[in-house]
Amino acid sequence: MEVVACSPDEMSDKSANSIASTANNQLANRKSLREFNNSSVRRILIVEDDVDLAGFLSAELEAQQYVVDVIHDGEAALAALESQTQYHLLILDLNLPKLDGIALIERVRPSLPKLPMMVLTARSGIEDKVKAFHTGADDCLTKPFSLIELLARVQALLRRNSGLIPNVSKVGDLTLSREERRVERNGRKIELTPREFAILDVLMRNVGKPVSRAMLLAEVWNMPGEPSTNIVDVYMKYVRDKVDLPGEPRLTHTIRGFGYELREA
Amino acid sequence: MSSVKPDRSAQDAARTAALLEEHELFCAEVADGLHTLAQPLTILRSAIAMLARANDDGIDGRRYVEMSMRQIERTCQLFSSVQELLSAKMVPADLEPINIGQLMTRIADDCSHSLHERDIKLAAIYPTSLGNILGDLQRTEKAISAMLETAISISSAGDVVKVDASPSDGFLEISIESTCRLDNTLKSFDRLNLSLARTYILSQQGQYQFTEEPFRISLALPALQPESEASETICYAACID
Repeated sequence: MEVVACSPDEMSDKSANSIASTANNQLANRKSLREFNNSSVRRILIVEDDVDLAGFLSAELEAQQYVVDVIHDGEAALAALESQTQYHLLILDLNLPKLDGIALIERVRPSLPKLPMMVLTARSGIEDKVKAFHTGADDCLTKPFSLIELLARVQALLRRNSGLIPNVSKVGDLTLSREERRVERNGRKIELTPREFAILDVLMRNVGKPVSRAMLLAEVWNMPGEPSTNIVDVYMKYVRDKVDLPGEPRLTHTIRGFGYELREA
Repeated sequence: MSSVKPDRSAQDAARTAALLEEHELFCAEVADGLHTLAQPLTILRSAIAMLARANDDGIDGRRYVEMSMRQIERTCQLFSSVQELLSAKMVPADLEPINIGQLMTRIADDCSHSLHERDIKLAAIYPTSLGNILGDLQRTEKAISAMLETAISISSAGDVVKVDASPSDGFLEISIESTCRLDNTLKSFDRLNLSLARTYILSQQGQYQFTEEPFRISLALPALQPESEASETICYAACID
């Protein structure tokens, strides 16, 4: 244990600094949590050791405009959940190599009390399901299940945690429906990939305000600001080409040296 | 006389405990096999429902058809493995003398394609007169193949799978090792394959051992020839790139 000698004045300065620092941290955490909750980019972590099944679920969830990460063992999943990446939903198998599903929930639940967790299991015994619920799972699906049921349950779990984000946002004649993952402009259906949808969603939540490239990189790719990459510009071009067709009033605007903004001319 | 009774009952108790333990392990292995079967069944059940939807929505459903075909194949393979696992437990082994050297050479040759494809080297070295073992030819072949396939499955490009065979205490021991990285994990199909190998070997009064880290599987089956006949000459030495 380290002991540091200091005068009463120094001590009160240190206490004041410490209180200020704690308050700042709390504010920063609250801000980060608010931003996370307001983001309608829904990031899901799938932990499933069967590569085929994990790939299938991931592809189908991505087709529903979710951003999906896949991990095949419990230890790697624990590391991912303890990292900076924030997830809106965890889907996990119980029978995992290295660290089983129940142990993973036990380890993660105290630090992520609000993260919805859906357990997939081929163990049909009631005891296993009850154990999963007691440990902290929010939902449980027995294999072999149907994807349609899984998608409905995913929507329900995310809706329960979705906070104050409206389902539909509008800018001019552009409409974005979050639950249906649908985008339309003046009655024209716009097909977007999950990343493109996520970009447009961030812009829609910040209508009339410039959104930096760094913010898009963080929100959509969950990456820290990396000035050397032009991935945001590349994807933004895809979005723009689909949203602003020739002859239509431009809604997407470039803010030179900063990022992009969505607004009516 | 009185001192014999407790010994016998202690032996019986130990035997009963061993049988119970083996039975529990076997049940767990069957359950694991059924768990593995649930994976392709989930994809199949979902893909067929999505295919029906795709037709209604006018979306190209070929992806789901291809996926279903792959998963049906996988389901059949797994079903067959689970069935074999049960049958190996219920049907007695058909014991006969087996020339183990020839058998191992054939199995190694069969694996050469997948070894080459995945850039994994095979180092198989054993003496000439391995002689014969007393075993069930089909079960022994399937067990050694499953062990070798699992070692290949868990290995990555550049790894070496070592196959070794030597007589020991009236048995012939065959071991298969891989230099694969420790963080490579067994897939559910590999686990089922190893369960099958274990059940096949135990059904022939053999011995089976497996350690995941470092990856090593060994089996021992009763040898028919005396150990003295074994020589140091290399009869099969392969290193397939």
